[in-house]
Amino acid sequence: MSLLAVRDLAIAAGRHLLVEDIDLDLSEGEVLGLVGESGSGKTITCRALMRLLPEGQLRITRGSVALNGRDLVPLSEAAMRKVRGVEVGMIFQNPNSHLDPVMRIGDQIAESVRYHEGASRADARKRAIDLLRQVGIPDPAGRISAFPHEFSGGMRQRAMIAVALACRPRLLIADEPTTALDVTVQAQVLRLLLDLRDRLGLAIILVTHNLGVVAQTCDSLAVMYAGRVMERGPKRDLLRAPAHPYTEALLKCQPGSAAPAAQLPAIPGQPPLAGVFPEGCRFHPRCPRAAGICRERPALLPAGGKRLAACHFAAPPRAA
Amino acid sequence: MHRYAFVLTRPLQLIPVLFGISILSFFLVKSIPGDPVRLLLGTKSTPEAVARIRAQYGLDESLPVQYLHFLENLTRGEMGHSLLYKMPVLPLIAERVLPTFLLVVGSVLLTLLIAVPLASLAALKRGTAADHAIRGFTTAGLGFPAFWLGIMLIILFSVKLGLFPVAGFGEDALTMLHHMVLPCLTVALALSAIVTRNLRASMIAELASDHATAARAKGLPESWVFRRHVLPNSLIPTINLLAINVGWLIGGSVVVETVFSLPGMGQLLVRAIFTRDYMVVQGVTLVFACATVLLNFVADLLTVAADPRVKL
Repeated sequence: MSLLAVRDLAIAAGRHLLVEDIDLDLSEGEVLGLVGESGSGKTITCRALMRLLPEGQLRITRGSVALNGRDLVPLSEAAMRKVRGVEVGMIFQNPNSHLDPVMRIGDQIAESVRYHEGASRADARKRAIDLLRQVGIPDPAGRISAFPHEFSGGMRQRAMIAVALACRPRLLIADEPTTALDVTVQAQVLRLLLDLRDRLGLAIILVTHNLGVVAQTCDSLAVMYAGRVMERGPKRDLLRAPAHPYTEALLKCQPGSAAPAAQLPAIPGQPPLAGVFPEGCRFHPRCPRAAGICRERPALLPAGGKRLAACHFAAPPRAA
Repeated sequence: MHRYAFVLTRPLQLIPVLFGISILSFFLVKSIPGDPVRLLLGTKSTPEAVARIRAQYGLDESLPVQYLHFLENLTRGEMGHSLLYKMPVLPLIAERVLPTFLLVVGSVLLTLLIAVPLASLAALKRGTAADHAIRGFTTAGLGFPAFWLGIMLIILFSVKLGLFPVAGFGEDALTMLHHMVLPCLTVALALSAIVTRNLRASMIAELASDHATAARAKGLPESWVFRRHVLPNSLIPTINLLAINVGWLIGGSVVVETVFSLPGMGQLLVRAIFTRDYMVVQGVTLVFACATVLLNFVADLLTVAADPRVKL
């Protein structure tokens, strides 16, 4: 059974559907890359998995988020609190703003242990030191009493990972964890995440718009565009032979795939604004293969191998 | 450098400030129109008597010389003699420090006691009737002058309900506190209006902050997030706001002490101004200015204690 199974998830702001038809699957120890341009709905999808959408602005209108077979969508706030931090940890893009500037790092790690497990001050402190050691912070016993501003960017991201793992969750949602970091530090943080996956059997959802990061770290991939999953499946298949024209276009835009002197290729046009999505396939106005049928909405269907694609032209050859 | 190192270095920086204060308070008093000697001796005084008194108080010398005398005396803790009370200024002030001190400290404590719960309620129940009611209270608090508020409190709590004394200051600790309630409340109502508004705004910003979201992602309940993360962060700007208002607080004590007949420094100052009691005006001004500097120093200490990022 998969650890996480998201089915038909839809998120709306008022009457506008921002994200819909989200299907995702994740098993123990798997790293799923959630890829897409800014505004494609990656972040609000992650927040929805944690039921952390800003109250009164965004809400889940449809679908299910099954964690170990239990649907989180109908859960009460109180029940949801026992999921957050305990079963699912979350780290964020900007460790500067997501750590409390006036609370000691050790206390920020220890507080969820104290709340969820009722641990004593001393035990929570021990756990905090242990976690800081696990995420590779030197002199963890001395560093637990430091404040976030006394850490470098990379160390802050490590500290945030320690905070998220404090109550030993099985699933870690990492929302662009390396975007705000230097390239050298990015690699270190990714290596740390993979290392934690190996040691703890952690499943990770890695949100990113960097296909290089995906190539290095993920096992499977879900490509989002304008609030929908365009294609998903094993990383290898998607990167080698994308079934969806959007995935293909995205891969072509990677620096390095074009000749050195040539201008970087770009997808013509702009992504649509939320709430004014085009009819049918949302990518069709920018798609080189667009045809009349693309005005009808394509379903996410098997497209050869283990992959699924939402494109009228991606269907596998019919069995004879 | 250690974050609290300014505790040692700040006094050195304060030396020029204190000089400035002494110069200002000296010349401020000298620029008040009216002749204290004639006031002392009355209108029928002879020119010889006037000259003799002038010489006795050193008022016949040039202003810079008078200022130097003033400084020299200050170093010996000598602030001159009161013309009205016929006694040295320092002990005169000393016996009036307590009511003013209690008024300022009590007002600040009471302000926090009013503002923190109100701002929390308004921020957490944003847009509800409670929020609007609190906004109404703060608007009213900003609008009513302190002396009017004081008189209204006297009428309600002292005259009608008989809960608190109308005026004056007690003999022992308990009666003193009893006498201080209404004066402190008068100042606190006005001050808490500003503080509540500011605190509510920073709480709303902190509730929507990334680190509050991160705390919720740890599965902490909203009350925990508020107490441990939102409140400490939103109190930092409040400390600054109180520091800015220290001057206003001390100035306000003058009015409130007059309304409540509190035998404090503010009341002493008002009486001294009306009677052209130069030395007393000068002394009280000096003490008020030094108190302002000192309270700002305390506010800096609190800021450093509350915000580990701050270095002074």
